[in-house]
Amino acid sequence: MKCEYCGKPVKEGDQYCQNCGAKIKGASAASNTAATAAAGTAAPKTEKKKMSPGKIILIVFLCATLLVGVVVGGIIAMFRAVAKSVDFDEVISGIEDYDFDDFDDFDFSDDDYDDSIDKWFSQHFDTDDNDDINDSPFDRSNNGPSDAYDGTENFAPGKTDKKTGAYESEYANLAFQLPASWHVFTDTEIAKLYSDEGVDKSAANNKLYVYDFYAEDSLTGNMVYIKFYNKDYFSEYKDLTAVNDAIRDSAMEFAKRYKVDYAEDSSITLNGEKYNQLACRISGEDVLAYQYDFTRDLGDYYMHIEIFAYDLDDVGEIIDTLNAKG
Amino acid sequence: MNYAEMSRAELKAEQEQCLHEYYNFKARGLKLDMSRGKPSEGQIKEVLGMLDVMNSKTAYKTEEGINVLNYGCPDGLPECKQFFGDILGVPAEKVFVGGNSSLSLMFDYIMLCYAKGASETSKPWIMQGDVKFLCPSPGYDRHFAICEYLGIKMIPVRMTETGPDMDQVEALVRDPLVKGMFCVPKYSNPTGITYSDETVKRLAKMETADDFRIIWDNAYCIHDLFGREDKLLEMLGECETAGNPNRAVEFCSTSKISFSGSGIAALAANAENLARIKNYYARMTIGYDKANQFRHVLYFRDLKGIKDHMAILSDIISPRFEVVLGALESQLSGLGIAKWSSPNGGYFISLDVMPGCATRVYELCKEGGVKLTNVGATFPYGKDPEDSNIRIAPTFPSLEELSDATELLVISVKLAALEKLLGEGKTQI
Repeated sequence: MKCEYCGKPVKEGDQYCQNCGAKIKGASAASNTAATAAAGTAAPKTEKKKMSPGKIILIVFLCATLLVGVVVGGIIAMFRAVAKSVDFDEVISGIEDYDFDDFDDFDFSDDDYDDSIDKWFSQHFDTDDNDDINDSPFDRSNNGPSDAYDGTENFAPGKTDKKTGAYESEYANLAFQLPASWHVFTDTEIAKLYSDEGVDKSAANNKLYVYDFYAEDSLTGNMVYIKFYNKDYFSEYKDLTAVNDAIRDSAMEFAKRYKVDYAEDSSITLNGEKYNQLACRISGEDVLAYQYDFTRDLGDYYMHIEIFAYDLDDVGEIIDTLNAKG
Repeated sequence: MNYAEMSRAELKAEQEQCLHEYYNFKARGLKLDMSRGKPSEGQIKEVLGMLDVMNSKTAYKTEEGINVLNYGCPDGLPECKQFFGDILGVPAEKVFVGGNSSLSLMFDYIMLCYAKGASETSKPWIMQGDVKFLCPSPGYDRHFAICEYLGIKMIPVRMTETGPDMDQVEALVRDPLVKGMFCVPKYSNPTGITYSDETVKRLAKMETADDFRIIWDNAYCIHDLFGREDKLLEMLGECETAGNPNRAVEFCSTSKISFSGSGIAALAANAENLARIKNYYARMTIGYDKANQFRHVLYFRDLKGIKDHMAILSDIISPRFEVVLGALESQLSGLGIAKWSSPNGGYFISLDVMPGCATRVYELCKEGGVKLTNVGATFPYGKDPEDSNIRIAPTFPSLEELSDATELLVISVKLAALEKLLGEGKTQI
């Protein structure tokens, strides 16, 4: 018996052609019942007929062809050479025991991992040409002015303990250490900030625009930084009011999506030093955050501390920390 | 008047009139495209705000402190899993968030079953002989392309007003070599049909091979139009209730919600299937684009947020559907030469012209300056056995363009039918 539509053989009792799906003429409810009975009431099993040796050879050949095809079209000549000598059954059975959940527990901050990434990069890219990474002009290991230093003799960078993250600056009159969950930015990460903000390298190198400290709380996303602006370089900042206006303008970026409410300007005293205080609340359906900016005039520089936190209590705790010297 | 009731002279007069209209249209030299379901510029503009929600000042950590720019969460940000779980009506723990394409998730899943088996205890499909997939037709050409690529035999299944012909499906799946089936259960591509409760329950309950899997492509799960919404039973739950918890894997994406090239795709599956899928992806990737996941969650926030956005998109898309449906209704209704779907959502209108005429309609439209989806694309192997189905994609052109394109389409449908009824072969155009 053949399907009238596609011409392929159909089994007695079939209602529809197993090749093209067409309804078979003459198939009745009775034949359907017979077919059901023949198939049994349980779910059909996937048990297969024993394959002939010829078919096995054919399948092995096809699999091998497919494998070679994937490898050839796939990656690179080296992979191809390796693939030919690999026992794929062994590889596959090995990776089947892999526990996916372990992946979540993998410590990507592990030094060995970082080293392996660095090694990979150095092997694959000419990192010598990448100033932002290797030849950072912001490398503060020099801890002093470069040859091109110009007019910032009175600025003294703070020191951050690489192990504890504790920050100390006689110049800013601050000495504090944030809790362990806070990540204090490394020199490289701060260099990245300059790069992202498009800061002229010499300006950063010559301490005309300085992120002296930058940290984020990995638990809450809260953030705090300490920044200095050289007055000669930032000539548009005629006075502290201009700095405050610029800070306020910058915060208004949030106003595109969120409601930004500024409190009246006030002042705050940290470690005996008086700062201007700008405080705003950023709110929306999906966020409630607070930004506090403290500024003061240091003569050659304006100093700026910013706190960004998702909880008002957190702001208070950060201020207490900054005020540790009392 | 129904063409079948017209005399030969009346048919000739009608043909003369249609040819006159056709030549007038052709002389305008338009170049219009109704071939693919692409979002319009207007739709994309509505979501541009998403590009502003993340910048260098954004706290790029989730509420749980996950850094969205670093490694981790290979199965997706918890917030994003919850987001898609809410959209699909399943718990977040059943969700895996992928890249920007649900089609690639589907391809990967079929490849997993094909090369490694659908379950721990079943043989890979490739080792079981000439395995087959059921393909409700007309359907989605890119589904069919997966099977064609892998050499999986496709068996067309007739679509009805309530989904695939379940009598046909239940008979065909008794063959243990039938390993899967594609389903676009809500606002089906291209017919716009939503599967009835009975269809969903029968799919969940029917007797199949143990390693049979339904590719439940819920691409249009929240793509309602005209303020109406079809209801669809939640498939994973139905499968569990029916005692076949592994039967279906569900897919969706935001491709036609946010950015068609930069959206997010996700799948949902029961624990056993999901473990197998995660295990597979662990070899392939250390995780998809979490920044994009974060951006989507920040922008849409939750189910209500994305539904509000879909209402805005509906205001853009619905008039386009109305233009096409209005023209079909006013120009073709009662002629007995075509029937079409009037969906409550989705992206397409399915037009069935007289058997043997679809290719001719395509040719006439192309010659007149309107590109339609290739005839046959909505059937396995690109062959429409009736040469009847045409998929209309009204979302991309402007309303004006769409009005023009539909005008030509209607004339072409009439001309093709008249050529067939008059039996004088193709008219020289």
